[in-house]
Amino acid sequence: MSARRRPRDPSSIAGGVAVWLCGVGVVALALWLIFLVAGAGLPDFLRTVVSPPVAAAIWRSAAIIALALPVTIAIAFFAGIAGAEPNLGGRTAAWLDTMLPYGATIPAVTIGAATSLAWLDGFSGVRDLVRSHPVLSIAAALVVLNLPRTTLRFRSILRAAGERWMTAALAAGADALFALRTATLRRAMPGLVGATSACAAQMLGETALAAIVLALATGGALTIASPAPFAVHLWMQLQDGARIGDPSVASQALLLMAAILSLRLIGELLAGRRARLAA
Amino acid sequence: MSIERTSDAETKIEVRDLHVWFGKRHAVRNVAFAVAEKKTVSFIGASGSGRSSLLRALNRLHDLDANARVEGSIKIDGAQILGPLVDVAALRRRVGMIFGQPATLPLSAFENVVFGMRASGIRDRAQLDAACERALRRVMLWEPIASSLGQSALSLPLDWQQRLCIARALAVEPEILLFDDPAVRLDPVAAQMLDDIIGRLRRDFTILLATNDLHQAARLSDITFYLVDGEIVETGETMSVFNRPTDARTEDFLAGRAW
Repeated sequence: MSARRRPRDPSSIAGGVAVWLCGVGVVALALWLIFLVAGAGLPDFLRTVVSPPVAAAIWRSAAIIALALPVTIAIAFFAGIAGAEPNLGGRTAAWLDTMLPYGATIPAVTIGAATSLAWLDGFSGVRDLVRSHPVLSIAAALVVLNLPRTTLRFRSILRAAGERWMTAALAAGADALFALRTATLRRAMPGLVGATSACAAQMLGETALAAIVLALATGGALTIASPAPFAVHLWMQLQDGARIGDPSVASQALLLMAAILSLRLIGELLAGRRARLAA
Repeated sequence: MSIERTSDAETKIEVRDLHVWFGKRHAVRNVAFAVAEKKTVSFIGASGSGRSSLLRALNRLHDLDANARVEGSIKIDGAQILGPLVDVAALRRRVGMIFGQPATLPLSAFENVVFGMRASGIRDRAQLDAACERALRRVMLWEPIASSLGQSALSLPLDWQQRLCIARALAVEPEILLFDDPAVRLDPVAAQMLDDIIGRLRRDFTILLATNDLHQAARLSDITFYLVDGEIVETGETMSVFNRPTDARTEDFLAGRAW
């Protein structure tokens, strides 16, 4: 007997159309903004990017990410392995299962973090430490912000790459470390590199947020890091009355956007390759 | 604690009071049996009867599942294999496992075959080459792939991958082979070839076969166990179980009434 098609629920059709329209609208708006910024920023792009204040800001951002990214990736890598492979992680795997979903995007966590920062502001030692080591402080904040998300990504990549082969390798008489090294990591590598690229993009975008929150929390001005990191430098110009349509500001916005989108694209491409390899 | 031979008795595997749980699900219930050396035993039963769970307990694969709990006693050559001090990797090389879905590793055919040897620390190329050839000849795969051993094993046909996995288990010179529905993904011709290979291996190994294929069980095994809901309800010489079952449930199952 052939199955009869059930009539579609009109509300689900309306919902689907609404979601589709919203998606198309958001993409169209983003593309329009990109074209706007590109149109204003491209003519002056090279001259702006090599100008001393912008170049200094770019180097400052690079220094912050160079400090934060390896620490985040190293910790996330080992935590990801511990979470993905209970034979290696032991109780840590179960602990990570419970803890990892609670990242900075959960309101309770954000409120808790804000309260902690306000509480830390009461300690002059902490204030002085942040002001005297701005680059290190922003890097540390980026590590804290990105660690749960990156660990979650690494764990899921390692799980997806390893689930089938890890069992096969262990059943063939390998110990967990040998199985991970020979079977899982080889397959997971494109995905891990992709996640690293996505993490760098995230850090680039979040540098301004981390710097602003730290500056506010420690009662300082935004100039806690001088020269300011690239995203902060851009934000400060807008604060000082510059407009996004100004050629110099548009060039900087274009550079920031291009850098973030490129890193994201690399991440997505490698994630796609990972999925194909795992299939 | 490594697994050493502690007795020369004919009994190769002795299982007592074995229970396996997955969370609250009781998959294997109070199972007890013994298998003599170089005998082939098949476990038959409907899907979910606990055949695979029982087999997996014999080389400690349940250790990989945080949700699984195994209780009871499993002795191989008189030595207890359940317990925290057992060298599980060494146990798994001694008790080889072949899954229904070929568990081919994302490596070359050669590296797949010698994987267990490398895992046990063997690096000598001549030794690895010799073991690879020996194992592949036993599964009738040496002639077809001798010239392409460096090729990715994942690109081989499915039945060759399954034979490669058997070769991988054989390369480390195991004593016991566990086959968990080994022909379930194969076409009839490839399944027949696999039966021929298992038939040849019977002479040299103790074999435990969990299968849905009653013909395969009848052809290959000396002893047959019939499982229902994790319990062994009928045991005996294969011909006797198939021709004169003593339990009504076995009779129903063999007649196709319990599927």
